[in-house]
Amino acid sequence: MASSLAKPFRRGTSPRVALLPAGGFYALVFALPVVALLVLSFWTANGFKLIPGFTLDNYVKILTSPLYRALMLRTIGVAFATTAIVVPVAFALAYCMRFVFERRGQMILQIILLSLFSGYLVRIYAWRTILGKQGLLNSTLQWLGLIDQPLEFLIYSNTAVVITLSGLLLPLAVLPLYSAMLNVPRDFLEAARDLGAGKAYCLRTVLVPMVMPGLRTAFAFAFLLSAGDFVTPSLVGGTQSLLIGNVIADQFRGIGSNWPLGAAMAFVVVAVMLCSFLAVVALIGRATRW
Amino acid sequence: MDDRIRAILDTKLNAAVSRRSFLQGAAGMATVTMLGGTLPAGAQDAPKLGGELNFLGWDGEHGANVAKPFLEANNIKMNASFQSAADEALTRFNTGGRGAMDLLTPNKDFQLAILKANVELFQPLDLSRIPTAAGLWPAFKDAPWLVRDGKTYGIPMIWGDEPCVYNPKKWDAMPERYTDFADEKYKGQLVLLDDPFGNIWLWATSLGMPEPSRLTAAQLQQVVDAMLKVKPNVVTIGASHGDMADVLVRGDASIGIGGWAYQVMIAKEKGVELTVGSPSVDGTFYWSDAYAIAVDAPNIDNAYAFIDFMTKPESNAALATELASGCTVEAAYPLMDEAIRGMFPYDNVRKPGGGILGTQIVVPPQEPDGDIVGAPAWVEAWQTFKVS
Amino acid sequence: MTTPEVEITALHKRFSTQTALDRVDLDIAAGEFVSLLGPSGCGKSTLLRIIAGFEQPTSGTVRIHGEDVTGRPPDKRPTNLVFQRGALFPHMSVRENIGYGLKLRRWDQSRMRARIDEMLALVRLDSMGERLPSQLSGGQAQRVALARALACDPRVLLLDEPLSALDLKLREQMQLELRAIQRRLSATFIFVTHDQTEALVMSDRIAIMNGGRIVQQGTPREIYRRPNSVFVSDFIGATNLLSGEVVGMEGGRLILAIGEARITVPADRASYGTGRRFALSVRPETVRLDRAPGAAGLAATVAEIVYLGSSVRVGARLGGGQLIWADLRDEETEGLDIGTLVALSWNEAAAALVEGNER
Repeated sequence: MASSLAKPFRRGTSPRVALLPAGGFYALVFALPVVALLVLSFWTANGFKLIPGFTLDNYVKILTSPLYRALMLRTIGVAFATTAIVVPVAFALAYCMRFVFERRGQMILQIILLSLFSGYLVRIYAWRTILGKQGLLNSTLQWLGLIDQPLEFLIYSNTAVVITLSGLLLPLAVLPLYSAMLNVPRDFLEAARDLGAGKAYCLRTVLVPMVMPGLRTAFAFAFLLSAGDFVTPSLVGGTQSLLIGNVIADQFRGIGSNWPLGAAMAFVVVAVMLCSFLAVVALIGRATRW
Repeated sequence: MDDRIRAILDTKLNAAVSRRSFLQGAAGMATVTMLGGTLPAGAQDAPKLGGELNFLGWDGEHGANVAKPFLEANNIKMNASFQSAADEALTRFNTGGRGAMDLLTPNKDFQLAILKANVELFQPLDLSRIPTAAGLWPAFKDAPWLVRDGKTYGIPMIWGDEPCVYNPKKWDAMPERYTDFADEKYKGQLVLLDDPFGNIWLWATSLGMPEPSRLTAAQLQQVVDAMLKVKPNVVTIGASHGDMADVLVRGDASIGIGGWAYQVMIAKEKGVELTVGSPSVDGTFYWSDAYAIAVDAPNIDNAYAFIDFMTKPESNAALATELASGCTVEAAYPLMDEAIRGMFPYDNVRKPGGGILGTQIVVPPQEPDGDIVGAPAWVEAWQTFKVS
Repeated sequence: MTTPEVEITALHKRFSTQTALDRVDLDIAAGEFVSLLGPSGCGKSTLLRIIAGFEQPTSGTVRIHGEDVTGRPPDKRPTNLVFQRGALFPHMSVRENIGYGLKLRRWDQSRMRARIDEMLALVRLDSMGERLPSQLSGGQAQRVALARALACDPRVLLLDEPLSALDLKLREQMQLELRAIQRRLSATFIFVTHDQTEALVMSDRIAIMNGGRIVQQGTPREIYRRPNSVFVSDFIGATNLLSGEVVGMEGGRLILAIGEARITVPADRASYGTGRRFALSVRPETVRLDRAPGAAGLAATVAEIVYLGSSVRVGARLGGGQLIWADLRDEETEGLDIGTLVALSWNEAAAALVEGNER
């Protein structure tokens, strides 16, 4: 009967029941540990012992320390720099894949995804090879006669961290953008052009608003993932580019672990990142108002 | 070098640093050939073995491969859990583990601290049940961290040191002291290991602190300041010995501080020549791990038999080879792979009294002791150093 | 003679695998409603897109109002396009959509508001200004698309099958509305469609396309009554195609053989040599059935009777086997049955001689 096909649930069952499996999983695997961590952030640690209680000591320590503040600023700076590179490049790439190459764009997508198969750590080491003092880039530039001495700022520096993170996160940013653009028929862009819009105006006033969710996701991936990363800075950042993620990770590892401090740091970072993220998204929204 | 040994060493090279102890690689290495399927000595008149054997210690020292024939022949099931910090054994012991723990593998500093503090953890060993212990190097027979009031509390199984590893084409020798590394000429040449205790200890020694492992807050700050003078010359801080080796091989740095002789092997393979050496005045530090039995161990017969088996020359050689360390049994020395043998200064262990291993204590006390700061303060100081 | 508003000269478009337009020529006068009609793949959309500027021709020119616009991008042409599915910007309201082009031209607020009001009134959606496209029905959306395109006052309005996605009733209504708007504005419309009824209803002139060429141009009546080829006559309206051979000429008339039967047509309409194969296009509504024995006309036997509601379509078979359809009023078919012998005739002015057997 048609009506029973349309309503898989018995009358009276709230559709919310359908949310239980995913919601339950999410609550267990994500919400619960986060709450536990939040509680932990108010405890203290002595040596290897955790001391339950309620104190704001950890937060005070983080917020009043000039070291952590500097670290936080550096982290946001690196995250912004990475995002400023990744998102426009991803947008341009997704645009080409969708509107210039069309069917061949699918193939390009496969190639981009392929790069994700080769493990995270391997790719960071690959960048070491490219950016190193005797690495690919320096060797080529010297061979071309453009430089005499290797460019030292390319490796073990903030530059190296930004470049490496950009390389790592670009595929992740292309995916949501390409996916969003697939849902934009060419007609819309043509209509804008037809009504008198130049290419740039058309992109700004029609395409960007239409792919806004995808853009937000790409931005989130690039910004949040680079802000939280600690493996990249530790391998290519040298001594001057450790980020807040490194400090947090150290709090949870083996010797001298201070879980409560680490938890508190993590939440401070979450708060700061969230604010930055929302601020920038609002800015983009305003800039693309036609 | 044998390919199987290489495989094990390579995985170890990339294990994260954890109290200067190396994690065993995942490759199952058949070391049986070195042992020839031996049974524990005096199996006939020993008490009946079998059942379980509980192990809580460093990954690798449970000798999964080396002890296999012994365990199988005696129907013993080993329950091994691995610690990531030396005090884990103590924590577990005090929180319900007592009566369920058999074998422990303390490092020398930890064991010394426990014995000195008279904390109950290790039980005195009946050496008549470990005849093979007679074959240990002199240094390990009466070492201060193993013996108290005439009783022995541990049987060492491996040891090693952490020298500087450097490029001989660039440098003839290491400077006299670690503090000398602050000099301009080392700019962009140094790579450190992400190890708080080793590094702080080395610089504390270099500054001439009377007891480098026991520092006041002021002294600790002095050490950190000295390290910060060197920091501009440091290219990067390696997450593991393997990472350090990678940096040296690429030529991104030419001197590794707190390294491991095995890195020289790796570099040679990639066509890069490296050599080991330490500052002439400051030297470097040594470490050693030993088997101990916990108080109230439930499977004490199995534990004794295990230790006795592992202290046989063949077993000890196999284990030391597998873990790329120095062997503790004299007769094991000729059985070891030459390449690994050559990595460590065995002269030190031929002398009784623990030699330099006995006099050096690298790890700070866990808890603050009066003025003296505890381990957490060292860790924090190191973290501050890293991000400054 | 005034310059045509749109002049398409020798327009040729070749894609890598095929020729989409084969040296097309077309002139459109100002204020004309011209339809480009043809089956899928005939090139009508390509032609429209080239006029709009979304494709570049391989060779040939497009002139609008005397200016050569061939190389110009779409934003620099005095044309606007109404898309098949409207393409209304989903994140803008109806008013904002209509005003998109005006804002680009930097019109001031009041002028823009007035214009938008005017457009909304034109398409009779006065109260829908603040709605979002997602809140509009199909017909309403197309009207907004029209308003948006007209707001910028283009010289030529291009429409790419704008009514195809609408249901029949709505489509018919919109056809009339579009025509009314075009007349009111005296605008030049180029309308692409595959529906011949639509083209007949709305156009001043129709250009029928097939295989990248314009095969016939003319007013709807001309096209319908004087198809110049089998293709055209088949495409427009239902028709009977009688095929046969020219067997002679007599007194200014051609003698045509259709099977056993012989008919004559005035020769001035086409020049056909003897032996030449031909097709005679006869619309069913012009065929008369005569039951009286000995009546003049082609002898045939009734083979099928189809009731169409407003008329009855009767199929009668000639001696040679060919089936001819005649549309009759219900009353005229009284007593008619399968097997009845009839004589078929038609007003020869209504029949058209078309080229051989090309199809």
